[in-house]
Amino acid sequence: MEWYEYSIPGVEFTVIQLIIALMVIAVGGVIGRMVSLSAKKVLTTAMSNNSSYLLQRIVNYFVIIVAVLAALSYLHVDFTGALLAGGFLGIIIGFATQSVVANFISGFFLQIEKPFAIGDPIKVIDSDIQGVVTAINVFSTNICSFDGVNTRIPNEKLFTSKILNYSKHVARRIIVDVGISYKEDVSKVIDIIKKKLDENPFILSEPEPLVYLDDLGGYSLKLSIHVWAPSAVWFKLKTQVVQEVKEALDLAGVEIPFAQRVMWRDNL
Amino acid sequence: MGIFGLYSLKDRLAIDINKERIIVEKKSGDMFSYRRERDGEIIESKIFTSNNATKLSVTPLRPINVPQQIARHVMICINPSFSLPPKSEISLTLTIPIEVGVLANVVETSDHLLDFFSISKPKYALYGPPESGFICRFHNSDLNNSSGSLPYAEAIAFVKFENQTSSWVSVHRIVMDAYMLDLYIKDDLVYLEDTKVIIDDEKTAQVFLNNTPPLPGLQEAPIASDALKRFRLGLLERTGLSGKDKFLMEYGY
Repeated sequence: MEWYEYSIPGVEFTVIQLIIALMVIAVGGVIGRMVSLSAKKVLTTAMSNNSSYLLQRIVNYFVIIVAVLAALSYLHVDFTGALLAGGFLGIIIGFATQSVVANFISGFFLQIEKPFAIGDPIKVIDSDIQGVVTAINVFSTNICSFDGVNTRIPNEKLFTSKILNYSKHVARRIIVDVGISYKEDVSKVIDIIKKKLDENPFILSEPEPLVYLDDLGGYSLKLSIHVWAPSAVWFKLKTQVVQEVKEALDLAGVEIPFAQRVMWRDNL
Repeated sequence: MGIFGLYSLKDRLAIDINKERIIVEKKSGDMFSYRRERDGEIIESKIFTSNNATKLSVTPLRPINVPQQIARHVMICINPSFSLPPKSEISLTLTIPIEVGVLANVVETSDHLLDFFSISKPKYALYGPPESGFICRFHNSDLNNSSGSLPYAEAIAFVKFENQTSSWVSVHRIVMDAYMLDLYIKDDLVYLEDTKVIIDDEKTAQVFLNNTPPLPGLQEAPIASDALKRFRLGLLERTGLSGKDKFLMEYGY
């Protein structure tokens, strides 16, 4: 055997052949990257960002795997033994990579089911994590919490968890309860609140805002306010509605009572 | 001269539109200051530069910008609603909301939206269920509006309703894609393109924007963004709807 000839059991190759095989893998990597970028251009208009991203990754890895197999084939690597060993190896790898495969498959089904998309504010009930989805990767999903902390959640965990998606629907309801004094004219107060709600452009005209006397409470009449808002401005509006109702009632001189307890004392 | 149109940039230019007052002043050289005031309070203020070809354009806009871009549809609620006999048609004059846009305009090459505002108070509504419906800019329109449109706040819409069903129908509202609206101007009056509503069955209707002026002698209003126009034309070509823009009202009318 010359200095430039090498062998591993069952395979003999020269340095030149090894270099060519490595070049095939390198070229495969470049082609994979190029195909992935081309796919990105085509897919961006055809599907959502996260689906497009996942598909790009799959295309990229597929081309690289084909290049590696071509290189091994060029080196006359006999796959027969590998196939035989593959059965046992497959079982071992299967156990070892169970969670990896589960995450990959879960990521795939998340793409099909689409319970959320990049940019959606969600809450994972089981783990009490909430925030905005920033990336859906092959094995995991990134969520940026509302206070700016990034959390990586394995796709399998997400796929099997209950998820609240705050922006899946185009509109959401806001419910605000307010207590007024027993001495107030309920109809008049309801009119004041409805007029104030009408001034806010984001409170939807249809479905119509609903304001009604909900309960005769211990120290106040409880009014319930139900309004619908576009999901895009729901959170901002939620805080606005509470403040605007309070200001409107203050302006009209409507009393919002607080809990009081009258204490009686016997003459001792 | 009406308010809508092109203005040459001078040392000072002031335009009044209802309570809004637009003031453009030359600062130095090619630099101009733009500001919009309401009741003496400055609402919008910015600086822009220009060349000799730059003009200021005041134009009606589709109702998609104010107070923010969250809806791409318009719902026109017809007051009072009306009933239409089977296999019949009727033409009605309605109104739709518009906004006012101020553009720095290099004639026939490009434009830049400096500012936009709405004379009327914007409101929104949900058409359809929350899970699959549409957030719409909401507008109330009188049936057969005899008083005309509110200047700079509304456009006149001549809408033909055709009931193709074999039963009476009651029409309460129409919904259309605001990004597809074409507006036309004449003497500061704004008109919506020719529009037709075909009622298919008890629940669905199709709203067609026919891409033609409703009356002869109208001038098409320039839209604020070339990109939007390109997007729209591209979409039409891709979908094969080159002649008409259609919106399917599947959640009732």
